[in-house]
Amino acid sequence: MRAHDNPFSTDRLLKLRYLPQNETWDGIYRRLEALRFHAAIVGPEGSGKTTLLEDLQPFLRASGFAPHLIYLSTEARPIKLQRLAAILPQANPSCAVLLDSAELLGRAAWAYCRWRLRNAGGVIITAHCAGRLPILVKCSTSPELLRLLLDKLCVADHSRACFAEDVFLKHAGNIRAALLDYYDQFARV
Amino acid sequence: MEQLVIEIEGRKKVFLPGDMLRGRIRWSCAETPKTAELRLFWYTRGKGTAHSELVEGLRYDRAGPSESHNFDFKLPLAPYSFSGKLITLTWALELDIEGCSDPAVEEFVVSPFGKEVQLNASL
Repeated sequence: MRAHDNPFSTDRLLKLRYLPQNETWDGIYRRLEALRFHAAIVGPEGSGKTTLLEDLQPFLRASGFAPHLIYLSTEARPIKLQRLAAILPQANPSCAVLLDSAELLGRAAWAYCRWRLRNAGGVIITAHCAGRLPILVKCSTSPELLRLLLDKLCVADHSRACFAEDVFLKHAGNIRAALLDYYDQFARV
Repeated sequence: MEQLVIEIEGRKKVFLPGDMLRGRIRWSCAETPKTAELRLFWYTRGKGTAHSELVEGLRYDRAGPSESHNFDFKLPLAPYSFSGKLITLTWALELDIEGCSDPAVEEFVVSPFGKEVQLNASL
């Protein structure tokens, strides 16, 4: 199968948005408000943390914030304070800073972030582990979630979709890796 | 009804590198557009990060709700349109009228071989 026909091509995968597990969007929004927009999205790799972070932006705008999303994973590592100073915005109460992959920040860098963002109206991070900010959502995955995403990608080949559980287990629940595995499977067709 | 149309001269779908790409665009919008632009670009799809490059653009200042214009672009010598298992490179024209309906896109092939280059990548 050629790349542009592959249902798992990146442009199609990027159209998949976060699907709340065992809760509703309203519940997430209410909790975020209760946490005064300072919160963490935690979970293992490929569990939808970044997607959820991105999908919070419309709600933040509707709440009167100007969201500022920073992908730390695109930065050279280790992330130095000088670089942080350049990429962090001048935070004010109407600014909500969304930091993806905050686990990449060492202790000093995180302390610097907290200080720089002390006036921000909101700070929402994603991280693999809890501990830096109160937890908004613990992202988790399941074979059912993978099947749901296969449906959304309109994968008509159910014989492959039936193996969702195997692919899920093979990648230890990392949905991103599972979908890339499907890309390779379909590319061989 | 809002309508954005890109018509490539002779309904050609395949071009040689360096060819002239000519045609006509027209739009009919409910309101006066904020901006109107025709873009010549290529983009990639497949596994991994997608890339795109704007090659040339034509802006139509003070555009009215309904207009039509001729266009011509000289296509560059590269890259060729190609497709493999990992990546596809596609050439396209995009007519983007802000404040109207979704952009219109017309894809075409740029290749010296009369069709897109097929790559046989193994995974």
